Amino acid sequence: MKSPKLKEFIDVHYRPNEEGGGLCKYNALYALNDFLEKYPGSNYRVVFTKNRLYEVFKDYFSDSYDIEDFIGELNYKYPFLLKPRYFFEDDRLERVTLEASDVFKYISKRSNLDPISGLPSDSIEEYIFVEYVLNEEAVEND
Amino acid sequence: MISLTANRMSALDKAFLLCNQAENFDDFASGVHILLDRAVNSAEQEAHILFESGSVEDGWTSKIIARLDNGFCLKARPATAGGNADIVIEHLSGDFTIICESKILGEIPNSTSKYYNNHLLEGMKQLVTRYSTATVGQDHCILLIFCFAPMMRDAIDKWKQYFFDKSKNGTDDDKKHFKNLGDYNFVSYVGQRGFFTSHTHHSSGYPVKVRHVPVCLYHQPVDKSAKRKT
Repeated sequence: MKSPKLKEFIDVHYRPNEEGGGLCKYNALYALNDFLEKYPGSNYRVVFTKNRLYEVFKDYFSDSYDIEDFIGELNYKYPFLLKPRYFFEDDRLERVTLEASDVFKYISKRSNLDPISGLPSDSIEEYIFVEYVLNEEAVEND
Repeated sequence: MISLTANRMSALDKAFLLCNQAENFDDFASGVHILLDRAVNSAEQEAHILFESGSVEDGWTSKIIARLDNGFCLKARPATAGGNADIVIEHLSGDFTIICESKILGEIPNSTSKYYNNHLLEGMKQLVTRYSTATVGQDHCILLIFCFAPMMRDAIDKWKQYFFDKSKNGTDDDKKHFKNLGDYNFVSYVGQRGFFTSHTHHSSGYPVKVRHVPVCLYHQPVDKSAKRKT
């Protein structure tokens, strides 16, 4: 068994209630756990794309909006099983990691300065992406 | 919808950051509009659903609330004031509030009930004379238009003309309550759905901004398979 800590995290924070409420989320997270069991690398370092999470969760929700809500919940709501990592990347092939506060400045139009050149640009938002890593409290540091 | 081609930030990611890190009311309102567009898109995909006569407005309003109220961007709940299924959208801190009034336009399926632009005008009156105070942090409202009429684009254009005409040539009350009505350019919102207006709020004297948001619920499939089912 590769991820007992993750299983415990899921059981503690996402256990369905007695009426079965939350069961689909619980099952979806166990599907995530199964995916990690088969994943050849360390869970500690695995990086999820949006598409990968969608593939793992798609059998447990009725539509893509529900899946997206669930991914949002895992990122933005306690106990924060996932952590979003924002980055800027365009055809210059240089990736720049962005903090949430940086992204906020761009999407609220407070800044239009290119993260690489420092020059004003109107298209920065198009090149901001997000990927996800597991909360360190939920995975073994192996 | 999740983009299967890239790890682009979703509407939900953007709405979360705008709501969570909001430094002013416009940041929060931008997040709300992004989330509302998403909720409306989701509702429109279920336009085939038939609610019982008398609960159509409440039924669709509940669907919008369920999609908005995710617990990490904002709080959305049905308003109890006046007994109508309006929506109160609040920042998690409680600092900002947006009031949303739902109204039907057009003919409800399987019903003889039909609603015209005067019904939307009543909704506007409810918004600005009953619910909104148009004071700091509460000067932004939403009129959610459940459109059961075909050619929604034309129907919404006609509503806009009707509303502007009433503010200039309507009753004394209409002219008083929608004084200085004009288009409003909410620069933070880049979406295409609906339109914004602003007018002087009769109680506070401050400008109140209203977004008019159409929801396309006209669903009359005419293909052979659909006709066989009816």
